[in-house]
Amino acid sequence: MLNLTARRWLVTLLLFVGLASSHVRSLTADEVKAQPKPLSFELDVQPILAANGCSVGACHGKSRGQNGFQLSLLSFDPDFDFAALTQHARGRRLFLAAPERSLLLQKGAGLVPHGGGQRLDPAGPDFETLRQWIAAGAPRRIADEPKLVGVTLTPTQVTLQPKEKHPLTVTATYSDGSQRDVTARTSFQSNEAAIVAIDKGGQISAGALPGEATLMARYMTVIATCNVAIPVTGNVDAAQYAALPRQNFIDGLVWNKLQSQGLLPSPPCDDATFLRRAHLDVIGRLPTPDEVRSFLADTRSDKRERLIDDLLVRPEYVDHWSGKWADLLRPNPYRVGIKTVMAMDTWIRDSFRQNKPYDQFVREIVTAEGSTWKNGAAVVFRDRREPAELATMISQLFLGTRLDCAKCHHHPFEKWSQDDFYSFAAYFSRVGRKGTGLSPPISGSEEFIMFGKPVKVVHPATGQEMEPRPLFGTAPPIAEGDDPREALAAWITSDQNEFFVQTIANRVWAELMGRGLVEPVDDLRATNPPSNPALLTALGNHLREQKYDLKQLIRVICNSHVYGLNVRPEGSNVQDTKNFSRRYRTRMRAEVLADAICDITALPEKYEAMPGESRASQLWTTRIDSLTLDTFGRPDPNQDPPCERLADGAVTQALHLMNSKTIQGKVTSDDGIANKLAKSERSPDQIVEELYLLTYGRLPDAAERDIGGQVFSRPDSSRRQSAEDLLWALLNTPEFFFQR
Amino acid sequence: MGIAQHARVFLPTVIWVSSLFVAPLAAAPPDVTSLFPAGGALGETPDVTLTGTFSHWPVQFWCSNPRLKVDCGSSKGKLVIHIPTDAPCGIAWLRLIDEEGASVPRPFVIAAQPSILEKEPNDSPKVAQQVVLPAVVHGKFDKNGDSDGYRVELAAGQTLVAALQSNEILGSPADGALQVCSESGQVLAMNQDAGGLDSLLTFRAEVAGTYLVRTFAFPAVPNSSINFAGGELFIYRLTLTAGSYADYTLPLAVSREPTTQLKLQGWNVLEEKVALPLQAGMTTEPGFWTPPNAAGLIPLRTVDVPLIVATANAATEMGQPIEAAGCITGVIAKAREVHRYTFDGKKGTKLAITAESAALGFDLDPHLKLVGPDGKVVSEVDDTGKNADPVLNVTLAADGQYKLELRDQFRSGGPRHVYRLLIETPQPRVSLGVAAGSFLLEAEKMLEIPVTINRQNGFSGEVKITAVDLPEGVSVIFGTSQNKGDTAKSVKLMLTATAGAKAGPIRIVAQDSDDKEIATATLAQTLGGSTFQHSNLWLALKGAK
Repeated sequence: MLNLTARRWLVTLLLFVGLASSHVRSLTADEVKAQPKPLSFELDVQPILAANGCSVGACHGKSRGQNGFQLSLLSFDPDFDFAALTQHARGRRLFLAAPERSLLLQKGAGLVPHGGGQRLDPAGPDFETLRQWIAAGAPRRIADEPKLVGVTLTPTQVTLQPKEKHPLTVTATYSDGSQRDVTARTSFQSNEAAIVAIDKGGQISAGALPGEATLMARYMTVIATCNVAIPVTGNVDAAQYAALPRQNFIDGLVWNKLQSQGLLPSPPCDDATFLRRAHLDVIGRLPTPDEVRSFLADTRSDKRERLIDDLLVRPEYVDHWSGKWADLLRPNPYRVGIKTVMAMDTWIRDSFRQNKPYDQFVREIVTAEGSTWKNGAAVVFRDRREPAELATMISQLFLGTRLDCAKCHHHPFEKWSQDDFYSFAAYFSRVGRKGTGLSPPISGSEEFIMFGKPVKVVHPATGQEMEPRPLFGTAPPIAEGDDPREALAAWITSDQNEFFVQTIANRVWAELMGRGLVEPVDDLRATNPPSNPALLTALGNHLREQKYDLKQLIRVICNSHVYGLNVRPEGSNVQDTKNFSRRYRTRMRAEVLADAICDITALPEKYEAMPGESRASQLWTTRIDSLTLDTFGRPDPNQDPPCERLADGAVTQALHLMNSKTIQGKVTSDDGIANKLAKSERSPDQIVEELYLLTYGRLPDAAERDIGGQVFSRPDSSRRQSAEDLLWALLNTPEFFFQR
Repeated sequence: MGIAQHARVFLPTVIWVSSLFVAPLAAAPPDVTSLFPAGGALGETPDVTLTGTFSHWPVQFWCSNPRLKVDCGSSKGKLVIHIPTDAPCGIAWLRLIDEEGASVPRPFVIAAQPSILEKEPNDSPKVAQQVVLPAVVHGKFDKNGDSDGYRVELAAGQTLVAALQSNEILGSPADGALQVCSESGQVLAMNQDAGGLDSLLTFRAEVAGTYLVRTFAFPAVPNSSINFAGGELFIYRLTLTAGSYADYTLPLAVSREPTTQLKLQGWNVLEEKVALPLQAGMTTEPGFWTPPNAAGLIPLRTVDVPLIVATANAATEMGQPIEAAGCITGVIAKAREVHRYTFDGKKGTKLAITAESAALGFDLDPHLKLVGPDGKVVSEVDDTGKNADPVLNVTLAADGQYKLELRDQFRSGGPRHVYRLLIETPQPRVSLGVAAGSFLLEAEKMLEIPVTINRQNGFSGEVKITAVDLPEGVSVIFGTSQNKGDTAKSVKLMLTATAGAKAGPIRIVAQDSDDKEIATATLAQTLGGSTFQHSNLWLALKGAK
């Protein structure tokens, strides 16, 4: 394996080769004048408009243009732009007889008032190129005009020292084999500007801290990326990585990544921490004191694996993981109907109860038919009624592909065009409905989703009726009389569709590890690459090999050494926030926290529209009132799915824990745990121990026992008051409401 | 001169003369909105509480099951029903009678399984009510937010059947749901709707132990309240059994033969066929049958065509050969399954093809397609109006083999995707209608009952419209309906009573020239998701004993 120095040398070499091959550089104005040549609208004129910001969203690229002059956003539509320049406004933007007096040049160069200011230098090459093009009669095309076929970034991977700078070159390749250096006409963007910045000219600047970033370069309709790493300074002996434990394939892949970054992992967590972590992650509830004692006393070497196996068959698993999917799928009952929402909730929980293979779960949603009261999967099609709405939701949920932008214009950070979008949406052109549709705020009727009559899905710009076409690759043909959704579902869940397995693998990883390999978890694209691509690929492959059994994926992650790392950073990994060199702390999910308080205090909550003593994880709609759940980030009931939660902490959460009458009532209730313990025969130390086991899932250390003892020895405080005070204090510590 | 002709001659005169004395058509009978409990077990004597309006008390009773004895209870709205151990199980229809008339019939369900009355509080796992299986729990979602829990013991491998009856048959305004949970309340299985709004849930216990059966309801007429619904009328019967529960039979109909052999389908049911004697004198359709020593109410229909059960061939491309007229029972067991039936048809033959499932409380949404001898689709139908069960009427255009295809509209399948497919050659027939189910006749006055006549499929005969099964002291002047003219679509019956006449059920029928009954007037009663046709109409007599 190459060390860092060797890798840098290799990159430099590659860079040199790359620069040597980019034989065309940008010309000056004089050179343009001296070397007149046929100018192409697409190859010569549009790149100037794009590079000078004329077609950005804030200027003429916005949907209504600017002062009557509209260009396609980011110059993705040459025909539209050509018409805008040559035909719209009665052709007054170009003056062929006196090109330099053309409004395009006059305004662009600021020679007449221009809201966008001066964008062109009257003495510069761009001005001259535009002038020559107008003088030549503003042709749409030139003879034998080649097509832009690709863009190459040089380099595509670079490792830098902190504060180091490095140039990036962009070379365009055309269909006739010619190439141009288009760096100056390319726009750049960093996904971690604080780690690695890039300027307009393609100069990369490493920040002061170690880290990684992906740089995006967009030239016309093509996007390319460059990954930049700033490793931790100082070499780590490779033997240290070789000696790290490897319990399954995950560990090796994480260690590889850590080695590339010069990071070392934190040591493993202790048994009590692991027990609490696994309980909260896998079933969303705290271990009981008896479970803690039993696990700590267990001397078997494989007790952690056994624990994961036991948790995966517990019924709480169903509610915990169903809740995550409910956020993504479950609509507002005031929009689709109360019973309808419960039907969907029931379907989701039933799917997890059966441990339905994930590909089947998705197929059942994508191809859902039948009553929205009996087949919860069909509710998606009651909530989302237009092919375009369905296209964005399905692609985002199951492929991690956000298509929203492409609905109105070419996606600015991706390859998706409106053509792609509406072709994909056409898969939903045969979704039929019978029964009564939406009638908010009750919408109480039953509706049936079925294979229906064709609905035209039309490209909004061209008016062309679109045929179903997948976003990439090939999908099964659609026979006469077949619902196109069948072909779509087959394509989405195909073994060849890496996006499918990787999207769900990333979601599950994020749930268990505190953050995704890709963040946001539903945004997989070249310009937002995974922090560990090899690991994401391997997790996806594993899920596929396990027949899309999500429990197997959870099991393999939880059984990795990486999952059991300590939360505390150790030396080199203090700055690491995405390579999993340690456990990342996360705040408890709202329902987990609410249920934990009930479990600890031995007092269940009373929720409306739920049977008595139901848990928060069992609620079938976010419309059921709960201040605690709202405070801790449950989705807004008025928000349309999919709803991704933010794990952020907030002052209101701390204040809620301190001041909530509900929580206070549970702490001080006659029937609560504090009073029960106080009335028991237990010694103060035993009560302290029990409360630590309940709230933290661990035994108190000596200092904590001492403090706890002091609480009980206060002369003006009863046993009950002491138990209540200690319980209240424990509930208000980060160790309780954070998952470690 | 026959009686009918005689009546024709004198009827107009009689009507004119007596018009000054005609009593109001509709009486003001007791109004019963629910019975609670809505049933009982063989050998039990339940105290039943009525809701509704009763201007007179005590009252008298009429019950479609003469084996039941009904007494007024100690206070208004209370009654006691004695159920002998050898009474037939199923639905008994109960009317309250006072001097103003009779209530509409209310269902009272007799079961073999012991009854248990719900006892609050039972809303949470800790206070769930213990139930020894098998049992029928008679409960009530008594207020908004209510849920009821029942604790049952199951051995490993036992299958629990939980069947909630509330909106269907009983007519409660509840849209109930069922859950089977662990003892601590973790949901293990759930069902919201089985067929109609009521729930049916089966659960196989892999581990022996205590399980919780929970039920709660939304309102059958949806509102915007995020809460469970409840109230005085939200009654239910919850059958809980690990024993035999029959969901349907093969075939799902009976013939006019003395007995029909039926194969029970459901859970823990007998393998052997059960012989069901022809049910004589049924006055309410649909009829429900409960097999001996089993739970369940099976909707059976008596038909005049051959009974056919779908075979494995039905699910093949070739299809199952049948005769053109028949009543077929089948199950679309798997998703995308299509059942095909082939028959030889003659040009000009008219067929009426009816597929039933939703109306019977099953899960199928039938879609029918008839393919002609040339392979072209003759007709295809999904729904009939708002009714999910389709009717396909067709006149065959050519001789040859036809193929009738039946599938689920949504291409799903399952163990409760049961259908009954009736293929008939439409026969000329007549049907009768009346505007009310209860009539009040006062002594010395004449009661006029208009009857509408619907002549179908070219029925052109003359029919006598009359009332039969008249109580003692009541007589009728019948009417005759001709094919043309004023009487073609309606006639009026005249009823009179002597002093001391008794009230009681009557039937209004059409008779042919041989006095054979060819139609009976029925009155539709909708109870929640169920619609019943009662042929027993009530004749009340002012001052009758």
